[in-house]
Amino acid sequence: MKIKLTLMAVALASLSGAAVAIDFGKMLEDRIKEELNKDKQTQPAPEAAPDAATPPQSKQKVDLRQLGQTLLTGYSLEEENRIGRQISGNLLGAVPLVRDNKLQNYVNLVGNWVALQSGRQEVTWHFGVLDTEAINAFAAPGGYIFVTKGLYRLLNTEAELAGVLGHEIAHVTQKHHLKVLKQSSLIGALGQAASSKAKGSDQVVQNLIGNGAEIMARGLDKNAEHEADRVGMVYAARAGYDPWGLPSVLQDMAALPAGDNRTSLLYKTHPHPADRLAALGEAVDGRLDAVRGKELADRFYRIR
Amino acid sequence: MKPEAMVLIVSFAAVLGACGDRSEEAGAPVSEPAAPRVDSATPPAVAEAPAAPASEPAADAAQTTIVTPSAVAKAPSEAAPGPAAAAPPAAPPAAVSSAPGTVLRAEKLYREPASTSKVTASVAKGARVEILGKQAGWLRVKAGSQSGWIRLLSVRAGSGGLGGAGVGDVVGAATTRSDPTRVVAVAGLRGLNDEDLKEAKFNAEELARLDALRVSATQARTFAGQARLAAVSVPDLPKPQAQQSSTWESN
Repeated sequence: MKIKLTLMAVALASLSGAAVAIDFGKMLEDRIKEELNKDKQTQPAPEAAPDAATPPQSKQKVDLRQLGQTLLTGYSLEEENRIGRQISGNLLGAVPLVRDNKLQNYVNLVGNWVALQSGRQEVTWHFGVLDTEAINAFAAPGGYIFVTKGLYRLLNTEAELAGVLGHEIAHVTQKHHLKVLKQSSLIGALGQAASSKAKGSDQVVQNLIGNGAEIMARGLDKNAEHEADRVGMVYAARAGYDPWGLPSVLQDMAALPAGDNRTSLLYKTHPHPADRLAALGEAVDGRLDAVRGKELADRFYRIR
Repeated sequence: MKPEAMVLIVSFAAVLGACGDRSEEAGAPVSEPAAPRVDSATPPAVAEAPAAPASEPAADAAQTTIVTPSAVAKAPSEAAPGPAAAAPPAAPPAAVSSAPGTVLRAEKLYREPASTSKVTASVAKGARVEILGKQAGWLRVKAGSQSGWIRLLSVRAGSGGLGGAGVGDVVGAATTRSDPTRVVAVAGLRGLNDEDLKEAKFNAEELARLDALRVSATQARTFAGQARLAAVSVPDLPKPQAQQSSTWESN
């Protein structure tokens, strides 16, 4: 970690004027895509695209793309993957995957197709349906996305699934959880103790994320949820789906009785569907009137 | 009516039938009008207001005070020359297939599910509607004596009125506390709450299973192609003014 911080300091110094001029607050708001483009401009020789398999020793070189990401969220892609694996492993300890490979494969295919529209090609996406009747969905850094069986049961079309997955994919691309975690740690705090390839539990990451998968129960700021609704709806539309999938699911949730136990955790961590519909309505207005997408009710995989 | 619309309506009806008044008991939002039952509750005042904006202030007031907000203002004459008779030819089937909803912002009703079609009426924020059908981004609704198509995102389904900030939190906390056994509404099936998440232990086996389910970008493209799904260019949506905030990270 010492080495890494030193390297970062050197890198910052060598970027001189450009780096000093960076407005940190603004950077947090920028899309990762913009960050990557910025890196390309400051560094004509393109670095190899970082991926999960990047060995730790590559950090001994100054990778400006990694540096851009690190400045943005406090975490490198490697660290993002480690955090995502630890959260996901814990979440799966609380509730296992549904034992239905056709279902899981279907959700992975739809999810990857939607994620292809997100512009984060370096992420390895994982999708899973959790075996609980609770109505909820989760995203963890590094591209880990989960939908509960209870939520899946509410869906009627592939477009609705695409909308739900789009919302979760947006949490990953907008790095919402990483931004929250950043506040509780220093840049580079993870060090190099383990790699994202490790099979077991990662104690260093666990210390960062608290107990078990409680980070998934804390939820995000409501503005992050509204942003994920906007971005997710657009991802689904870009994938060729009817854009009204996510709003339709929100309508179905809004119609559930307030005391339904299946939504208790969902409503702890998300704004009420009525608020989400209203906020999304402000953003969308007539802007998607011309978009004609597919609902694909026939291809939608139904459980049991 | 499209089959999907029917399914939606049927599911709404089922939810209502199964759950009855529970939402009211469980601490419905304060903005919930003291109206009796949703289906019978809404003979809203049909205001002869000449222009839609006129209903705006009343609607805002309805958000914070307990009044029956249902007010259907007739649209300006240039938009709806005929005295209503706005109902599209496809009349809804028997009264069974409708679900309650609340208008989330001052909106127009259109003759067809398109903003280029004739405006038949205006509805105020907070107005109660009956949802009769759905098509893409549009809902067919009945507001008092008027009916027409309204943008899907301008209405919320369900009987919770304008719903609103904090309601979900209160309800969530209450149900968690009052249900230590964590049994979900469907008897015998397991829920998932924050205690479960906090106490969760890393499960490497399940994570390996998740890894094994991964598909490649190539597989996803093939899968998309099989349904003739093609990538479309759609611009980002703007961040609405009301949501304008650059400080959420500081939460």
